[in-house]
Amino acid sequence: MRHIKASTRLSRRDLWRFGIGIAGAAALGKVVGPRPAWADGPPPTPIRFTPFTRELPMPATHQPVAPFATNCKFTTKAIPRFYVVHMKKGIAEIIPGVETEIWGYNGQYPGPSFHSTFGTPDVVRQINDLDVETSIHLHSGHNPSASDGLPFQDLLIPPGGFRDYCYPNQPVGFSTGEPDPNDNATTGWYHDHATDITGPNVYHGLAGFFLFTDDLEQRLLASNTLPAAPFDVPLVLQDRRFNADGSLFYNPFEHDGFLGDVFAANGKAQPFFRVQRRKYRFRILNGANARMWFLRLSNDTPFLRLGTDGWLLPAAIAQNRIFLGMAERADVVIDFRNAPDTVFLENILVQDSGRGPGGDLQNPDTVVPGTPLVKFIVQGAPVANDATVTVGTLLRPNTPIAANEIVATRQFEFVRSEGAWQVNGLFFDENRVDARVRQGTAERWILKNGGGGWWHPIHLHLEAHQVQRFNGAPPAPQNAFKKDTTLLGPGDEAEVFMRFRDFPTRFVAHCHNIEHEDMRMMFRWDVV
Amino acid sequence: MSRSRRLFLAGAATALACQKGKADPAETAAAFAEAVVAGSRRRFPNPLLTTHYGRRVRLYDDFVRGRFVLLNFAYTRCEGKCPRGLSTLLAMRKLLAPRMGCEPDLVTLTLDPEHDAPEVLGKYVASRGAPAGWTCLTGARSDLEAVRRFLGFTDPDPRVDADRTQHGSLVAMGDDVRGRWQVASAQAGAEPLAQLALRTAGMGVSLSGTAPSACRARGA
Repeated sequence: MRHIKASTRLSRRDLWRFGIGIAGAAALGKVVGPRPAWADGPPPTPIRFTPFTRELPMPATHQPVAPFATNCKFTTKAIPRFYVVHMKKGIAEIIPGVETEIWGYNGQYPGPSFHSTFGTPDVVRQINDLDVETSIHLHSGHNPSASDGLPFQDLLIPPGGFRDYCYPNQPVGFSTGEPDPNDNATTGWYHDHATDITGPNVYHGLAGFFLFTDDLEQRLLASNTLPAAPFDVPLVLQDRRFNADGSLFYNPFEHDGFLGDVFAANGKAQPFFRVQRRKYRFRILNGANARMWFLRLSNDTPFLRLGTDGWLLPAAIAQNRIFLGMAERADVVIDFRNAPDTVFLENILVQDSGRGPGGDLQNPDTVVPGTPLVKFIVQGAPVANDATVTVGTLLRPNTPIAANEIVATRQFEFVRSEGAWQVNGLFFDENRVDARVRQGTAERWILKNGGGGWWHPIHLHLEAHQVQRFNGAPPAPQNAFKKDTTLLGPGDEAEVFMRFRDFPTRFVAHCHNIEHEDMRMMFRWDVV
Repeated sequence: MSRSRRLFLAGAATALACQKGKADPAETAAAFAEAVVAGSRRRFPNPLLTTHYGRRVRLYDDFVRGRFVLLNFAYTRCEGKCPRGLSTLLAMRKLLAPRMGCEPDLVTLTLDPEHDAPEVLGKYVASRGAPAGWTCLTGARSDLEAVRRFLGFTDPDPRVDADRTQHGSLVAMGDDVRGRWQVASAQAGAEPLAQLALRTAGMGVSLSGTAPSACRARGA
């Protein structure tokens, strides 16, 4: 890993890691003034604040409502839960003391969390009270095409319209009589996916957690293996940029990937979080448009990694640092039993451009200590009867996709072309099918970064994929099982296996640098 | 003030400034216009440029303010992607006409101002049938570059960025009334681009339907 000496790179962003932010920058004589709108890079946020003066907020929980008439049809006889969500403008305090208009699910940023249970379908009526089109993707969900939240004209919810999303919440493979609960997801998220405008829609607040549970996870909780609520904490990390009046600044002409300069956790800029001396489970989600995070704890203790993207690993592993591309998730335990009174969750990655961080995935540019994102205030004595999970604790078995199941190999190259982004030399066209896969089969897909120094996190819808090789070598342990988003740094190539079960018709795969996605680095593939 | 009157006055002011042999301070002040883009106040480039008819115009004042517009970059000596991109954009305008009540303005700025004099651009427009509502603009390279950079039609690699043969084949579509802007590849296909344009203009998601009584794109 390449370390950048702070003394030689004292950018305004670096000042954050000293906890002095923009106010400190001004105090040090750093000029924070308007830049010409036509200069490279967006203007810095001109609002001063002191970090770690607000508590980490917990997203609200969506509450079921009385059943309503719907076109949703499920094969299971289980009684669905019904939800009604209004996408609308709201006010959030992201920077302490500053009111910011956001676009939120129920007007909240981040959106309230869904708590869903395998075996019980959900019907979610999404009502669009905004003046932009929306489409709500359930990321890590295994859902019919019409409820996946796809960027197709006929699936968009126009302003004033609504759509019922029908989530069967059945184990993958249920339709064939061979359901595989090993593929049950745990940490999903829902976010906007409207054609060409996902970037501004998500940036303004249209994202939230969609947490699943099932019998296996309930056993891990009942046996006190895993920390349970309130010690199970969703944590979405995002970057935002502001105008002087507190409104969000977004530049639709920032095509490389839009970066913010204020770092929010659960929608709050650099909050603190009071914790007991015990184990906490954090579902860390990179919900940024184009920023990646390389996370460490300031006391240099390792994370206990439970899961990757939507799924629990077969066994918990220790990880000193965690790299998260956009849309990737890390399900971790942080053990505060022996922690000092203050611990920071830090981002040590150096990234000044939407193109991606400096260096490459194997050797990213870092600065230590990094930017503190969350301050943990650790209180009390170590608790009794703490959760027992530790390195090697068995979690969720994995059902590997065997090489002899593979019926076809396809390659998808993600490349910048003519100022925008393509897959295999083509821009996304919802009416063009770029791959037809047979339902019930498995394929080998080669995901290839087409070069130019760009970073592309590649999200494949419908099911988890299993990374077989990464640049010709076995993948890192945390990436070796189930993923839905595989990050390709410059020059990287991933070989993944994927099954296509239960749901026919159209799906997509795309780069999750959302500005790249909006400029059509996406392709349609159909299950036939 | 009518558009033609504005154009006349702008041209007269420029002529006067040229006669004096120095830049008019008012001209510098008007090189940017206050605009709202995606909810944020921005200084939108508003340089004095020349159309393929030889008229002097201001980009924002005359083509963007209060309207829906398509902006792209090309140059007359460009082969391949410029003609392809322009064909797509001209086809896209036709697709939009039934819903918008007119073909929205397409403004093409040259990447080759040293060669693309107004009369060269005029012949270029004529060679493509001189469709109404398509205007090509030339001017000082620095002014054109300011627009290109504002719209993000750039490449982070300085060598690529400086090579016009590798320029991005992009179109910016903006509804200045709503402050909503989108950029897409001009190679993405006429129909997808038309659908995006319609949504950008806040006119729904379907290209089929009734037209407004007045042209939605002009004077919004």
